[in-house]
Amino acid sequence: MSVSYSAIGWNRQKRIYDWMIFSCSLLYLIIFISIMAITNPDYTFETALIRSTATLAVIILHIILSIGPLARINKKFLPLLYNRRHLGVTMFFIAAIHGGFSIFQFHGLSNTNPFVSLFTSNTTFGSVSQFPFQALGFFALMIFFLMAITSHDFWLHTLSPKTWKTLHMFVYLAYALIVMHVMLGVIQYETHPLFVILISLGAVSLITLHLISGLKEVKMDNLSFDAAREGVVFVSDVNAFEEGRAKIFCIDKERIAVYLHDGKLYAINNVCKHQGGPLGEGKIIDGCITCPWHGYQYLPHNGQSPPPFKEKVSTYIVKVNEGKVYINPIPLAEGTETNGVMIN
Amino acid sequence: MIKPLRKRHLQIWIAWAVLLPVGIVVAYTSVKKPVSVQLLQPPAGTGFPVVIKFVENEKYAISLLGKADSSQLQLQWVSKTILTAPTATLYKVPANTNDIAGAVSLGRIDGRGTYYFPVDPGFLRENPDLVLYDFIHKKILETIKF
Repeated sequence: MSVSYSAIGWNRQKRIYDWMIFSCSLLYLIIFISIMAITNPDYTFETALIRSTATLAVIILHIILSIGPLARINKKFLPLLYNRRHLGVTMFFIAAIHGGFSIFQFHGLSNTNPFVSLFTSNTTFGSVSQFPFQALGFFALMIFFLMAITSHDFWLHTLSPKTWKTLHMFVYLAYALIVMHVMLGVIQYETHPLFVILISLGAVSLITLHLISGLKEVKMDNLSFDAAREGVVFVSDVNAFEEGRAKIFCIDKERIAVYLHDGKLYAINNVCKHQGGPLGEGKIIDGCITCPWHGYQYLPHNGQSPPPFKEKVSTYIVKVNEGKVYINPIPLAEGTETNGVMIN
Repeated sequence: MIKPLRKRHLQIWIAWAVLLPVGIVVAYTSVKKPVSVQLLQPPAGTGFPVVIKFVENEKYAISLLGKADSSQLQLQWVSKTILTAPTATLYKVPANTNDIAGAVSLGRIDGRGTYYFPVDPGFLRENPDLVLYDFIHKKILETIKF
C-alpha cells in the first residue's frame, strides 16, 4: 500500500478487468466502423474512427461516473469501484484518439498551427448554433489528461489526498463540457432526435443517481449524535450488527465505523487514508477491515495497516451495557490499540 | 469520503441538475431548421394561348406567346436540363450586341422547369437577342437569337 511504489500492482483481478475493458472497447470500435462502412461507404476511415471513438468515450465516461453513486446505493456494485481508474485511463486514451484525429482532419492540413487553428478558426462565441464547440472538447480532454497522468497512487501521496481529490473532481466539469461539446457540435449537424435522446438520458441518469446517493448521505449525516450533551453516546442495539460487517454512526459530524469481528465490537474512523473511502462500507477480509474503494486494509483493534504498510486511522472506545452499544466519540491517537468489547 | 467532500459532490450535482438540462434544451432549440427550397422566381403561371415565335435546342425551348388579341406578350422558357450555373438570369439585349450593361432583365432561371416572363408589346418590333448570364462569375452562358 505505501512502503514502495511499483508502476502498477498487477494481480489476476486487474488483468481480467483490463482485458475486459480492452476487448469490449475493441469490439465496439470494430462493430461501429463496420456498420458505418456498410451503411455510409463514402465516409473515410478517419471519420469513422473519430465518430466511433467519440461515442465509445462518452459511453465509458457515463459508466465511470455512475459507478460511484451505484456503489453507495447498492454494495453489489462495489467490485466495479476497485479498478475504476483503469477505466478512466482507457477512456482518456480513446478520447485522445478522437481529439487527435479530429485536430488532424479539421485543422492539420493548413499552414496555421493546428492548435492555433482550433481556437481561431471559429470565434463566434455569441452564437449558440455556431459556438466553437471543439474548444469545449479540448478543455475536457486536458482535464482527462491531468487525471490520467496523476492516476497512480504516487501522485495521491505526492499531491496529498485533498489536492488529488480536488483535481479529480474536475471530472464533473469535464463531463459538463463533454455534454455541451456534443450538444453544440454533432447535434447541430446530425439532427436525428436519437442523439439528443441518448445524451439527455445519460445526463438525467447520472444526475438522478448522484442526487439519490448524495441525499442518502445527507440523511445519514443528519442522524448525528451530540457527544457534548450525551458524553458516551448510545448508538445501537448489539443485535443490529452482522459478523464481519460494520455500522456507521455520525457523532459530532464525524463518521465512526463500528465493526463486529470474532464476536467483538471495534470502532475506527470511517475515512480511509488512501482516498477517503468509507471503511464502514467494506468488510473484514483475512482479519482486516478492507476499504471498499481500493482494498486498503486496517486491523480492527488498532486501526493500523498490517505490516509492512504504514497507514493508520483513529480508534475509539466502545462499551456494551445491557445489550446496548455506546461509543466514546473522542478519537484515540491514530493506531492506538483497543481491546474491543464482547457483545455477549 | 469526508463530510465536506460529500457536500461538495452533492452541490455540484444539484448545480448540474439545473444547468445541464438548460444547456441541452438551449442547444437543441438552436439547431437550425432545414430551409425549404423556395424558388426566387414567382410560381409559373399559365401560358398565353398563341405561339408567336419558337426556338429550341437540346437544353431549352423558348416561345414568345401572346393573347388572342395580341394585347399582351409573354416569353416562355422551358429548361430541359438542370442548369449548372449558380445564378442564371435571362436578359433582353439589342440584337448582335451582347451588351449586359444596357440589357433589360427578364427574370431568373433556377433549374429545370418552365418559366414565364412578361414582355412589352414592342418586343416583336425590337427583335432583341436573349442572353443567359451568370452574374456571380460574370459570364455569358448562352446568347439566343430570337
